[in-house]
Amino acid sequence: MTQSGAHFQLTRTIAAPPDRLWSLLTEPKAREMWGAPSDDAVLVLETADLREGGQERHRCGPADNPDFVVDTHWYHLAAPDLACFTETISAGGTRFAVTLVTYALTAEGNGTKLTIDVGLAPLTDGDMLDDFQQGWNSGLDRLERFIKADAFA
Amino acid sequence: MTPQHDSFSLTREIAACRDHVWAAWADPTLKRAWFVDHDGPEWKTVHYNSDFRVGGWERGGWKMEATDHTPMAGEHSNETVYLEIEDRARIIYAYTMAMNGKIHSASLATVTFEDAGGGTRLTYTEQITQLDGSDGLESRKNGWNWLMDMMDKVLKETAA
Repeated sequence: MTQSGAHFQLTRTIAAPPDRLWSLLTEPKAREMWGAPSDDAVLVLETADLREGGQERHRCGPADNPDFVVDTHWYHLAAPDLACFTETISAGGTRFAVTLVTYALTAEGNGTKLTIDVGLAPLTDGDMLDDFQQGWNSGLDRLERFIKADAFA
Repeated sequence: MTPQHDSFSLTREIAACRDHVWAAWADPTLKRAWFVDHDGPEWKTVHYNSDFRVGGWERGGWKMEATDHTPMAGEHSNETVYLEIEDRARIIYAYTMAMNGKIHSASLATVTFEDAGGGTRLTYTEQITQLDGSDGLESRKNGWNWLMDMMDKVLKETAA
């Protein structure tokens, strides 16, 4: 079982300047384009409130039934460098986990070094750290593909 | 500054029943007694309120007077949102700490309550993102150990 205090860190250099990457990471509609945990899933915005103390809700899952609920609380937004938020993942009234996520952006050449820290507080039994890490990596893959496609649009 | 992610865990065996230890977190008056009112004389509480329910907020503000040997003088504030409450078993909440209006840490805390002999085992786990101006992991751990001492003291004072 994953324990409270479990953590992973992902680092990528993304081919977009910090301002552009910041918008894609934080704007609620932009998150729809890349934030699902797999290519088969969708992320659909329900409620947007991008500000410190703001709460947002997305639905996530298969396009015909996105039954997972992702509740985001924003705690710190220092554009375009640093964001801290929690996500609570639930479905059918059952909460599965809460994560504390930090985005740190640093300009690097023509792009941006992005460091993501994810700390996990599980609410159900089971090993979920690998699933969360895989979901985040899949989302970042889609983010990079979107940026690449957008650059040639 | 590059934010620093860390975590720590504290476990206490408390000589009080689980109902009483749970009340120390769930009852705003009892929570205030150990979380706020045992601060030292150099601390002045500006405001404090707690709404203990999922989605509810706890907010506090404190002012520390300047002395010759503290870098902590100034206005401090805490904002907590309760994310998960499982009656007498588990509380998960997120909180930020700020000094003079500038947030210096964001944390995710998990508190669990278990029967242990005739008392209660309380485990506090905090994941912390330290931002510019954070007083550091050791200081946070020391702060929570001190708060646990204050909680234990209040539980003894309010024992039936």
